[in-house]
Amino acid sequence: MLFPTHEFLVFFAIIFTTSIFLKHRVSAYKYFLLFASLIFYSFWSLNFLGLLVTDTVINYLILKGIAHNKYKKVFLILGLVINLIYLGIFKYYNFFVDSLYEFLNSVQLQFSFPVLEILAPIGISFYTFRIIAHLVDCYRNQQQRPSFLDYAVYVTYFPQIGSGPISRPNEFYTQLNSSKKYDYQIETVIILIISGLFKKYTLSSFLFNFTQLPFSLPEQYSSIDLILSALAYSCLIYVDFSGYSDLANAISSLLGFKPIQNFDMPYRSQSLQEFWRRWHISLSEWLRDYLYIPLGGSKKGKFRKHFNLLLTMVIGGFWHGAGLNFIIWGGLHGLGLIVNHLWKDFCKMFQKNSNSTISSSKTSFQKLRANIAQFCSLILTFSFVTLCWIFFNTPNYENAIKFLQGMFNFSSGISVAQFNVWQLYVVFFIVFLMNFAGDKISELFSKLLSRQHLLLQTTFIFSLLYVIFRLGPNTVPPFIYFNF
Amino acid sequence: MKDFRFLLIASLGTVVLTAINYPLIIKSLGSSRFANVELKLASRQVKLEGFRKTETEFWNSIKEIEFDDSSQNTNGNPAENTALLQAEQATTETAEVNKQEKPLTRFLLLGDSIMYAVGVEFENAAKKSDFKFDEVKVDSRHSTGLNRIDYFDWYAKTPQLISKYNPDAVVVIFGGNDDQDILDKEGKYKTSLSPEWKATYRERVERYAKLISESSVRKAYWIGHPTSSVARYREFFLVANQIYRNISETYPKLEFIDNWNSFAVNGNFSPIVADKSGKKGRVRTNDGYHFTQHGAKIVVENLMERMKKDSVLQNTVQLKAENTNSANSQ
Repeated sequence: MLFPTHEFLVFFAIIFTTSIFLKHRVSAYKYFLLFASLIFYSFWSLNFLGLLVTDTVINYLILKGIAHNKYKKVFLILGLVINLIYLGIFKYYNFFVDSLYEFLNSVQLQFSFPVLEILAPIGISFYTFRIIAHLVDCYRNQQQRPSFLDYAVYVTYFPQIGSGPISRPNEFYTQLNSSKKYDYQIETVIILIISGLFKKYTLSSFLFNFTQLPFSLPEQYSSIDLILSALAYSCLIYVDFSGYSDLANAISSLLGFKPIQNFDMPYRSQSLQEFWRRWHISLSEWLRDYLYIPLGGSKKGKFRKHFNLLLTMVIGGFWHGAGLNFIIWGGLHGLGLIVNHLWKDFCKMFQKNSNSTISSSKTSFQKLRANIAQFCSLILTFSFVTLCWIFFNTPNYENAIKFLQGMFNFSSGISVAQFNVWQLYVVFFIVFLMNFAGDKISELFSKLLSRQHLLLQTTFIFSLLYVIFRLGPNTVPPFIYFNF
Repeated sequence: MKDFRFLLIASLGTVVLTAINYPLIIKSLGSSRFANVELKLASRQVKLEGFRKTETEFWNSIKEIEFDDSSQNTNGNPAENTALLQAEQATTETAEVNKQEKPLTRFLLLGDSIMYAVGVEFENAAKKSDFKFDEVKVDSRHSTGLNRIDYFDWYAKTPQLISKYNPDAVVVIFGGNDDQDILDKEGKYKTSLSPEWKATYRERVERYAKLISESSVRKAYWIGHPTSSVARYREFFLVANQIYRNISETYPKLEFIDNWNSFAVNGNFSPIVADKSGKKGRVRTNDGYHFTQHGAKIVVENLMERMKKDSVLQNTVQLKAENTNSANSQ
């Protein structure tokens, strides 16, 4: 069940109305939330629901094991192994089988073995990461063993199970066990809903059309179309995923949980480091706390720091999808981050030297130079991120190479510029505005909404929604991150 | 209090939005998996007009590949092309050749989204092969078929495409989106795969076969579906294939290509199958009906095998020699 659908509207209307009466009865509300989450998940598949329940029970038993001080390390390792095997079987089995066959093909070995057809349960990557975070937090004594009910609500919590944000157990339990729920502002929730629907329903559905065939059949498109398609994908993945996060946060707020910021105008970043502080924040923080730091972080020397960065990003890439293209995407970001760190070190060194000779007061020339440098950094970061997305969206590595070649092959003989339409440029401009003035636009809407009378408020909100629906399609494409 | 205020705003707005946007809400509700027959029927009767129609047409134009006429030379060797062109010109100048005796070199591939991968693989195969291809055109449309002609009408589109491209041979594949209730001639709904549904779908297939048969096309191939991992598609494709096969047998121009066991090992669906060169790969995508590039390659291999058998494909080297001899002898 996707968020912007009629089914979900009916489902949530019932859930929200009931929650009003149960929200402050802590125990009853937990049962209610668990029930709602299981119903929501069962809409995808009953088999997936069975797997989710089994996974929850097994991991809770492991948590109980970790609570016993004597064997806590053994149970942690067991938990990590079981979760990685679970993820490996359901998410990476096909990739391993395909890779094995590709290898056998390349060495011309005729060998066959039975192949299973396995579908990955919805949200498997997200709930597995939440479960792993919980195991590690309990092992580190940062989190006490919760009751089974609390744990089941945390793992299955429906607004976040499909595509995050990846909430941390400590914050979640504090809110779950408090009779004083998160006190949301109506205008903030409404802005999140409008923003989420506009991003998903209008912008993402529009951009989706520009990003399907060119990535499957790049050889059929002209260079200009491929460039526009790559830019469209950069915009698409932002509006699609941040739109989902906005809706998830709005739903969470209404259910009494504080929203988790997952995106912070990422395309205004002037470096790759900054980009990862603004993009998919809950995942970046997860990777930092549960992978990069345990690997040693930056405390074991420069070489090790760079190696840890690369490894974290490669694993982060592979987490997104079972394919060589995702590993390359992660690897490129890892390498980019290393270059970014080296450049920062170099600039610091250079500044140290120049500070000793030049006076600290900035001349207008220096200001201009700084502005130009900022602009160039922004363009460079955005271009790098966009080029990396090509690996992310192509079905395989070969297609990504064909796509890149096609982008820069201005003499391909294909002269049709099918995507050179003004509507696309308007959407680019809107995404640009979201990334450079998104916070100000939200503030403006918030002020407008908070001052008005109920009737005027309703008219204003639904005029906006009317425009969103008029511009959107009859059926909405699925969220990109539901595949991960 | 806050929750009730939000509920009030949401309810008020939903009522207002539904009231002013009623037809579109119905159309949208019709695509829900929980929609009943009446709702589906009502949603199909809602016609898109004004801005929404223009918008849908614009989106459809973006969803399809707009082929560039100037880049459609599918034969890889330019020198060979020139030689062939000269030989052909000489032939046309000096001899009146009956159209029926001319080799088939212009191909048009039509169908639903499954045709994308098949079309691309056919083009790739055409580029690599020793056979002569003057033109290969692919026109495949997402979410279309012979069932939902209210959404996209292949009966109207096909004659336009044939007249535009003047192909010698047509290849079609349908069925990917036809596994849904169908409206019969009297406007009544027939449940998918019921005997009445089969009769109505058969009429649709026959109508299309007749249309192709009565056109200027000299040969047509109807590609059958290979088996699938999804039980629902397996059942549907078996029924659809039987209809395509039976109809094809009654029209001499039309040939049915049986691919059922192409994705099977020992009669059962296998996700990984070897092509003719022995290279193994995944054949279907996770949805259970689209082909992967490797799967499409296997289907195209079968198609070209059949075309060779039917002498539809003409060897370039042989043809070049024949044409040059013919020109010289004149």
